[in-house]
Amino acid sequence: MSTRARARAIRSAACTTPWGGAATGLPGAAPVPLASVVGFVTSRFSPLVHAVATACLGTPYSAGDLSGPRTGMVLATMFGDTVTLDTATRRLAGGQVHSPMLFFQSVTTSILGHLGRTYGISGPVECLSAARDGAAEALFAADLMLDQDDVDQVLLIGVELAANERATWIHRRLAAEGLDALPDGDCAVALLLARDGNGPATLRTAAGIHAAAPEPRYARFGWLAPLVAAGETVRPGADPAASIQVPGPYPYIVEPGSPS
Amino acid sequence: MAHDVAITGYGVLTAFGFGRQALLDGVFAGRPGFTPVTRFDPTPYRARYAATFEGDGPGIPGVPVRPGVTPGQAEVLLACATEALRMAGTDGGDAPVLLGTNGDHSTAPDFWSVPGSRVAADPRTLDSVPARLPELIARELGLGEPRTAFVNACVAGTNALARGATLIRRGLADTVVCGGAYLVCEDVFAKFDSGRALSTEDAVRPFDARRQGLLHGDGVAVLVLESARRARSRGAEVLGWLAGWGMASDAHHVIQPHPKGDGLAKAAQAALRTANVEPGRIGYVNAHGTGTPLNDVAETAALHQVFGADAPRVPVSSTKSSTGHMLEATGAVEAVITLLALREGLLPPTINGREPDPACDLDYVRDVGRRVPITHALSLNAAFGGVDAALVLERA
Repeated sequence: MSTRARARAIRSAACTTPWGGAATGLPGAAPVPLASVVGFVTSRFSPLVHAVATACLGTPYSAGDLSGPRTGMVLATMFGDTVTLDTATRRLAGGQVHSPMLFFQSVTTSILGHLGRTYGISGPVECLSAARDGAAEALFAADLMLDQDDVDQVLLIGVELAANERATWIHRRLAAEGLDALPDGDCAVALLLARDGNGPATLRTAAGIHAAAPEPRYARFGWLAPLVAAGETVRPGADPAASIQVPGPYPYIVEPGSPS
Repeated sequence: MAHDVAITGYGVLTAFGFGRQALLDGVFAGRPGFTPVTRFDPTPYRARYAATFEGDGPGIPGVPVRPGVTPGQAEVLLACATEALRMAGTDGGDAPVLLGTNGDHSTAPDFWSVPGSRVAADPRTLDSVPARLPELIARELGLGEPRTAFVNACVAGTNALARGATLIRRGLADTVVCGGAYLVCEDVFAKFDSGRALSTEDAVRPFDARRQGLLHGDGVAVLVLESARRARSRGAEVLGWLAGWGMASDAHHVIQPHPKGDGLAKAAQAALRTANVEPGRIGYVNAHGTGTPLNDVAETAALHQVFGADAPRVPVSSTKSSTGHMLEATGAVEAVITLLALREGLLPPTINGREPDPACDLDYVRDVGRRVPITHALSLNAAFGGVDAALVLERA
């Protein structure tokens, strides 16, 4: 087996935490309404992806736009857009016809296609679902994508909706199988990783990291906790001694400071 | 040419049945798999047909025939993975398990409609979480990690194979078990029907002037990929090489493909580049070929970009005209079909053509298979959002 030691720059990060009705009673609810995305209805899943991606990349075609055609995208989610899926299923069970709007937005790649069109991104697009070590799986997917000769940077998005009745039912029954924890409410996080160059934080491959409970302040983000914590390292004034360990089959460390 | 990722085993199910012979008798013989849907009541829908496996032939190994009961994705995946490992002659060791699947949603309507079901729902409801399926397969067969489900729609199976090949080429795994699964169910059928993506005929007519949409089909395929070094060291038969892979996107539209097939061309060019194969070596293209008005023109344009003046001389077929569209599984099943085309020297046809479309001006291997020895083949897939993927396979 080859070694995989290397470092990637984290250029930017954004996080959107519990929102809307699902945020009732939860700390950290966002102070402004979630912006709608034309063509995406009913569910907050795609608007969350859009919000966190645009916060991470900047305004399209502005001076601060960090995107580019040689950008890839990785979207990680355990359950996917449960609101769209289950709204459609309940309509079916109730004898109602499906809505075409729910059809196309039920496909995870649709909102990524919207982002691709908005920013002119034409790199590879991966969407994945992992039961365990989802954060490390997502970072691994982005890390591998950065090896491709037609990719300079990868926008990694982790997203999960507040668990609905079906998700809660399933998650309780699979807890014994070691399923990752779900966030307390809607949550999305984005990291922009670059193969080369500098950034305010660094993603490094690691070895020998064992699963550990997240810091209490991150626990409510469930499996997204390591990605949210990684995003914190990008903030101006982040503790330079803070490093985030991300356990998994291919573990990582995130630390403040540039790779070089 | 890249000879580092060997294909040493596969297990496959389509509407025609389980395994190689079923594909040869169905897809390669130019038979359509579509019948009136009986798995659920299609009365509320515009479309009425799908290519579903109804227990014909010897059935699925290890999966009992239960009249009126459709097997779940998990048990068919397990049967295919077991067959793939048997064919490869390995137990898989600590192989990662990578599957294109959006989960098994066949019991989802019951969860919401049957009184008391939320207390004692069908255990299959647990499999609606995509990630659970690779976990189950890995646990049942004692395989390793990562265990990842790819959920990027119609490129998911291709993505799973591309990831598996990447792990091997990078030296991060010696053996990978990868593939995809989709079995026709009402929940998904209803969505596609609402989007008017389905044909109302009992046929799919890719690249034809009268094409009006796709039809769904059952599909599950699992392949064993191994490093050449490992396959050689244990004397395994190499069935073919997964030589190259590429992915890209259109940056064009939420659901429509780029009219010139830019993303698909870019994915194909990336696959050729990673395979270190010139376009002129490609002797066959297994197209995405959904039979939708926009896809087939865009895909034809993409192939013109890839092959230039040689494009009209490259045989192209859409085997979805036989199997139907298998969604997250389609890339994995079509990789097996492409592998068989290389091994058998037989190109599967595009069937159901009635009237040529001037905008689709390639050699679509119409109606009957063609005996042609080929060394390299390209398999293409595309998904909503303009997400595209390609594989290059090489004859062993």
